[in-house]
Amino acid sequence: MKEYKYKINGMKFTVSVGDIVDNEAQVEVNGVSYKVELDRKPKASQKPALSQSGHTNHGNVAAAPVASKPVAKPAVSAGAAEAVKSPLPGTVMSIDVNVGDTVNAGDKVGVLEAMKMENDIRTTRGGKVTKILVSVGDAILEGTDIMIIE
Amino acid sequence: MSKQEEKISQLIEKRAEARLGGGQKAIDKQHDRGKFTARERIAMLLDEGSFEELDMFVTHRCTNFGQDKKHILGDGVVTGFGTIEGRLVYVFAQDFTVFGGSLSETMSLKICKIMDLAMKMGAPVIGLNDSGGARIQEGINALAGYSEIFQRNIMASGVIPQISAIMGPCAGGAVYSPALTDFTIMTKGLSYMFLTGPSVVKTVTGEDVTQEQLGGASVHAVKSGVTHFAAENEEETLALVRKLISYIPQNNLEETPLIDCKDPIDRLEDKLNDIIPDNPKRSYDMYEVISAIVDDREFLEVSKDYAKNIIIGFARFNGQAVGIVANQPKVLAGVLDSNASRKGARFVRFCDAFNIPLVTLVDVPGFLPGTGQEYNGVILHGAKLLYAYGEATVPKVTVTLRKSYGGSHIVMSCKQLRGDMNYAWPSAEIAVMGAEGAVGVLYAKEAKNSDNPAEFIKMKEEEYRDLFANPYQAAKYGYIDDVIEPRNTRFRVIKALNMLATKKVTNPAKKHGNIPL
Repeated sequence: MKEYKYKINGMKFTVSVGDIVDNEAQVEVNGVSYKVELDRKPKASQKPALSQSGHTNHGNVAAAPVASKPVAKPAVSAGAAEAVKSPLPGTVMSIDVNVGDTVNAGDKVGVLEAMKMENDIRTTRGGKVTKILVSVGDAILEGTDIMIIE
Repeated sequence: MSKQEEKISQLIEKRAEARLGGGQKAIDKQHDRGKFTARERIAMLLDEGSFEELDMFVTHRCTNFGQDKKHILGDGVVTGFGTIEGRLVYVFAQDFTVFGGSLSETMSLKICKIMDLAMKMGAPVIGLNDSGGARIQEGINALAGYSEIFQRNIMASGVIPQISAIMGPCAGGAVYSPALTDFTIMTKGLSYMFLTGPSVVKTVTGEDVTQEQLGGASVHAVKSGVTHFAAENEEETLALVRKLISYIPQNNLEETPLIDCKDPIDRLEDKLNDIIPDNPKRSYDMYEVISAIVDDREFLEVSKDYAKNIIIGFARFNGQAVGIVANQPKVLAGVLDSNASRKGARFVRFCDAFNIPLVTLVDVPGFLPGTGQEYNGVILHGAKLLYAYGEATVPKVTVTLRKSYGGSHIVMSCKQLRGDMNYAWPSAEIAVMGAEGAVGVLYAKEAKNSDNPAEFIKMKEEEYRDLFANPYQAAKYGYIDDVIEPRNTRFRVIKALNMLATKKVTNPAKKHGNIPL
């Protein structure tokens, strides 16, 4: 969201531009929102569906797969890959699979030490392990992607 | 035929007409959808032949939009009373074959009538919901109808048990009646519940969702916790209602039903003596403990797919129904978090309201740390469980199997929250915090000054564990009434419950407390 401050005839205006869908923009002027039609045609595919792949927020590790993937079919790639997420905040004790291994839904893929306990990390889907995003000894937060299964 | 006989045959005809609801075509359509009709459902729910129907001849009084030309006897709901295992219950079942089961002013009056009767007689109310929503033609009268029902739900809360089965659509304002009742059971595939439907969601937020994704039985059983049970089909839904009723008394003044118990009360379960792994960081399955100690290994779990780190449900000890609350070390290490706390608190309050004793099995490492939980208000949610236990006046028996640390120790029915009998297994670790945390605080300075800090900390942790990670510190102060042999847990719990049968505690007179909602 971009915010602009204008002064017209001594009056202050705070304008923020929200989502732009096609040629329609959501614009807020001094807290009142308006739908504004743009004159120019929107550039096609300005926003590749980055959020679709779901693991973009882990900077260094995830940037690579997103960039290398063709943006043409975001829906398909989102459906095919899924991250195994950390159930708790804790420390990775072991990772029991390797890249390339095939796993079944419900399989134990690692152990997380958290809350005075060794917790099994289990996958909710079956498939091939394509990436392991953490190492043994890493302190990770709840919801952190541990590995990608395709 | 005499005039009287003519009148009687007229009655018989009218009854037959009412029984057909929206007509044979509509009934066939309902069957084609894989659904039973309201009357078929009632027949399955109640003891055979026990149903007495009321208000069969009621029709609506709306004249808007040509409604004055459309009248169907019964007006879309079948109401009355009957028995479940011989016990009186009141039932209403919305009839989807009549105006899509939509709620009119008169439908609401019919439902309110049986609710009022149930309150007078002190018997459960069971609602079988299958309705398209408010009857739009009736306008504000339909809304008033909902409100009348909600107000009665609220007044009946904690007085008579209220159970809602959702066996079809239940959308908009209609969802609030089930939400106000004690238990909700949804039928998978047939039912959905949401405040605003997919089309509104689409226009407002742009999300594309189906009815099933938005408010299907699995969504509410797993994600939202709105429904307590998700049943495979209608038969299972209705069987669950019957089962649930078997654990619950008729009203808040009666005791839970006692049944004959053939399971020996002094049954020893040797496997419990080594169910706790030697490594305190290893988990085990709390379900095994529950099934080992209760009558006939029978446990009716409530909300089993929601916040699985806490287990709640009904079971019996020596024929006496109890509510069980237990941490599940197998899921999320058994931590208490916002959802688990809310799930536990509501159940504890239900049991307390209906004189159902509480048996609490503790193995809790603590509250889940992190911004996610704190921003979510885990303080308030945790306080709900704390409040619920502290407020409860029913017999409370607690067994600490292993971990019981810090705030979560207090919350899980500790002695000072008026726990009646607090037992612990020899494997119990009852302490203010875990060894790592405690040593970090207690010996921070000394560790820094020692030659080998890591070694020093390890040694101190070991010391701390030996001294405090056991049940005897708590037992020394009387916070634990006795340390018991695991295999004998069933017998000790039964003895405690038996002793507590005449417990009388009254809270101070007040309008109502202010539980941190």
